[in-house]
Parts: sequence; C-alpha cells; structure tokens
Amino acid sequence: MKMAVAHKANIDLSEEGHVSDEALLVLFGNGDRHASKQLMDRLTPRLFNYCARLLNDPAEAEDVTQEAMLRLWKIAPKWRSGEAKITTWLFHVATNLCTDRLRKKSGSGLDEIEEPVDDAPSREAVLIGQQRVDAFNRALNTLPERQKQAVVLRHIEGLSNPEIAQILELSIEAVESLTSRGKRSLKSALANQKKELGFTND
Amino acid sequence: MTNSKKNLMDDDLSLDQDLETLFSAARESAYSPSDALLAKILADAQEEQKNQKIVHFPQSHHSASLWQKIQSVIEDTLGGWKAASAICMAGLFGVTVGLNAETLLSDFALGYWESGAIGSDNVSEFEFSSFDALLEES
Repeated sequence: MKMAVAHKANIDLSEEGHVSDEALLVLFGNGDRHASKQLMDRLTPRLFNYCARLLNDPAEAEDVTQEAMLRLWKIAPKWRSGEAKITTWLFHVATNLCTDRLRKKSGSGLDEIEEPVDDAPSREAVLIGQQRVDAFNRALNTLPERQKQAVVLRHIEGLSNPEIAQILELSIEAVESLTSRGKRSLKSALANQKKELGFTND
Repeated sequence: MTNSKKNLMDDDLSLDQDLETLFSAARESAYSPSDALLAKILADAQEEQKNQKIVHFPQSHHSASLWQKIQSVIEDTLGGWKAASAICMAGLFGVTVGLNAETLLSDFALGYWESGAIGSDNVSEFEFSSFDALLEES
C-alpha cells in the first residue's frame, strides 16, 4: 500500500502541484531528497508566518519552525496515512512549541509582550499601509494566548473551525467562541484609532 | 428603531469592515522565512534521511532479538525469573523423588499400605490402623 502511494507520487511528481503532502512524506521516508525540498517549500512559509505572529519575534519563530519541521522529518517513517492532515499536525506542534516559549518568557501570556521588533515586512505591507499592519499587530498582541491562536488560524491562515479545533484540541464551539471574542476585542482596540488608520464611517 | 441604536449598528458594521481590511492587510504582509532557515531545514531533512537508513541495518540485530525473545517468554508466560527458578526447583524435586522412590518412601507410608486401610469404607478404621503402624515402629 505504502509503495503504491509512493509509486503513484513518483509519477505525479513530474506534474508539479498534484502530489499530496502525505505522498511526499512517504517519498521522503523512502529517501527521496526532492520530496523533502517540495514539502519544505510548501509548508515552511505558512508555518513560519504563524509562529512569527504568535511569538511576535521572527528569530524565535525561526527556531520553532525548524524544530517543528524536524519533528515532521522524524515522524515520517511512522506516519499513519489518513489519521490527520500534515498541516493540521504541524500547526498543532508549532502551537505547543510557541506556547512553551511564551510561558517561559513571560509566565503570563502575550499581554505583556512589547510591540513587534518586526524587521522583515514584505514590500506589499509597505504599499497597503504599514501603519495599519502595525496597529493590527499591536491589537493582536493584546489578545489572550488562545484567542490570538484561534484568530490567526481562522482569519490569517484561513483554516476551518474543525481544523482549528483539532490543532488547539478544543471543541468547534469553543473555537467559535474564541474567534468571536477575539474579534470583539480587536474591534474595541481599533475603535479608538479609526481616524489615524484612515478609516471613516462614510 | 431609534437613531442612537441605528448609529451603534452602523458603527459595528463599519468596524467589521475595517477589521476585514486589516485581516487582509495582515495576510498580505506575511512574514517570510529566510534562506538561512530554509537551508537549515533542508540539512535537517537530509541528516534525518541518513539516520533513518542506518537504523534499518543493525548488525547484531538477530542474536539480540533471540535473547530478548527468550527473556520476554520468561517474563510473559512464567511470571519472571523468580517464578521460573521455583518451577525448575519443583521439577528437579519431582525427578529426584521419582528416581529414589523406594528409599524415600517412609515407613509411615508403608505401614499405611500394609494396614490394608486402603479400600476400606470405614474412615476411623483407616486412621487407627495407620497409627498402629506408627506405634509398632516406635
């Protein structure tokens, strides 16, 4: 069965974009170097972005991303097909690693973390208004840890509530409640800055 | 609907739209992994692939697993080394008794046999006859 998947994946590899993450992981387990490169290219940007937002520190996000990916490489030979999506598993691992780091750092969650030291914004961010992005990041960093995780996964990463529930090990209802409370807090944090951010009621 | 209520709803709707704009701005301003990070991740992957290959060919795997199998049988079916020793002792004792049956049979047992109590329906007769044999002996 495993070989069949790998064989199929080998065929599909010639047509970029048609191989599932799982098939690539099987290929990786069989020693295929091309598969590791493809998996890395697919998964790392999203994972790093998520960690950087949670940790509010790109350098630490690099460490966590590398650690989460290393765990993926290690689990590859034992990966059970069909049990979980690789992205869900990775986000789950990354969430736990970030939580550990934040707790070690401050002992009381994200509320005390200072403004972003952001040194790597993309060029697009400058175009759409760095002020807005900074204000959003500041507001996001005032949310309690779980609310922030849920809001980022839902509204930045675009994951579904069932997926987020799996990642955070919560019920779907709890995820809905977290995202809704998170949005409410963000709105109240941004309400006072509407003018500065160029938003009007008209 | 009063004017103030309507204004509140309008404000909320407008905040929702503003928030959506900010989410979208945040999505577009994603953090990007550095080349150095990607190189490290790829190096980890290759290292892990090497390690996984080495694990598949251990040299002393056979002898170790045979010994482990024996140990696990002793643990699982006999209840550990102590229990296994007790079973061996009991076995040796049984063999010894079997080989030296005549010398080891006590006079008590012989008297018991000779009294003819075996086969008797009367229990008290059976018991007394055994004691007789003992008394005669002493």
